[in-house]
Amino acid sequence: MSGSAQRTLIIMFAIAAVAGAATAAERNVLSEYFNATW
Amino acid sequence: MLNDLLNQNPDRFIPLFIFTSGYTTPWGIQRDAFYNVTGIPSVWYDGLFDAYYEGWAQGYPYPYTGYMPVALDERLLIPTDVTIDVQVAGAGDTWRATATVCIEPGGTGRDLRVHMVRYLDWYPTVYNYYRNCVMEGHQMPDITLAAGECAQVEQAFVLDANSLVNPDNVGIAVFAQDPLAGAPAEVQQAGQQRAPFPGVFMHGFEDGTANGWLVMP
Repeated sequence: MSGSAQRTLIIMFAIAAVAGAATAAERNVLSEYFNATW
Repeated sequence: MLNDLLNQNPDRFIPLFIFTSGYTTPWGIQRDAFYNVTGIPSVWYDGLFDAYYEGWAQGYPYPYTGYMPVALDERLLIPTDVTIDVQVAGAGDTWRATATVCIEPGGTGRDLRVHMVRYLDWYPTVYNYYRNCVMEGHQMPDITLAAGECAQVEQAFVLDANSLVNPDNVGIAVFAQDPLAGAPAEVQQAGQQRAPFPGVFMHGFEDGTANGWLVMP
C-alpha cells in the first residue's frame, strides 16, 4: 500500500436490538466485550 | 473496549452500529447483505474481515481471545493514500454533508464507492455500549480518481425526531470502499464530523454552547 495518510478505521457492527432477536447470552457477550479494557 | 477506544482515540475509529432488528434502516439491511451477516454480533474491520467469530454466540468456544485488539493495532499501522475531509452545514432539520475524497500525489488511482452515513451516538439509550447507531445511510455513485485528484460528494440528511431532540449526538461518517459486489472489500479511508455544525443551531446557539455570548441576568 502506498501513501502516507493516517488511517481512520471503520468498525461495522451488526447487532440485534435488545428487544429483538438477541438472546440473553448474546447481550451478555456484547456487554462484556464492549466494556472490556483495550 | 469500544468506549475506551472512542474516548481515547476519537480520530482513529468510527464504529457504526447496524441493528438487524428494531432499529433497521434500508442502508443497514443492504450492508448486512453485503457482509453476508448470518449471525450476531458480527464485527467487520475496514470491510476486510469479521473480527468476531459468529459461532461463539451460538455456543462454540471463542477461538480468538485477544484477537480483536491485536487486529485493530495491525490495521491501524497500514498507511493509506486516500484522504477524506467531511464538512457539514445546514439549518433546522436539514443538514448537508460534503466529503472531499482525494488520492495523494504519488498514490494509486482507483475506483471508489463512497458511503455517507448519519448516526446518532448513545442510541438507543438502553445500554451504554450502544454507540453511533446508523439512522440513515447512502451509497453514492462510484468515483474514479487518479493520483493527486480529488472529488466532492454531497448528500442531504433530514434528521428524524430522535436525532432532533439530541442534536449534540449526531454525526456524519463517510468512508470510501473498493467497489465490489460483496465483502471482503477494503475500506481505503474514513472520516467524520460530529455536531455542532456551522449554521445548525443547538440549544439556541450555533456552536451548542453559550461561549462568547453575554448571558443577561
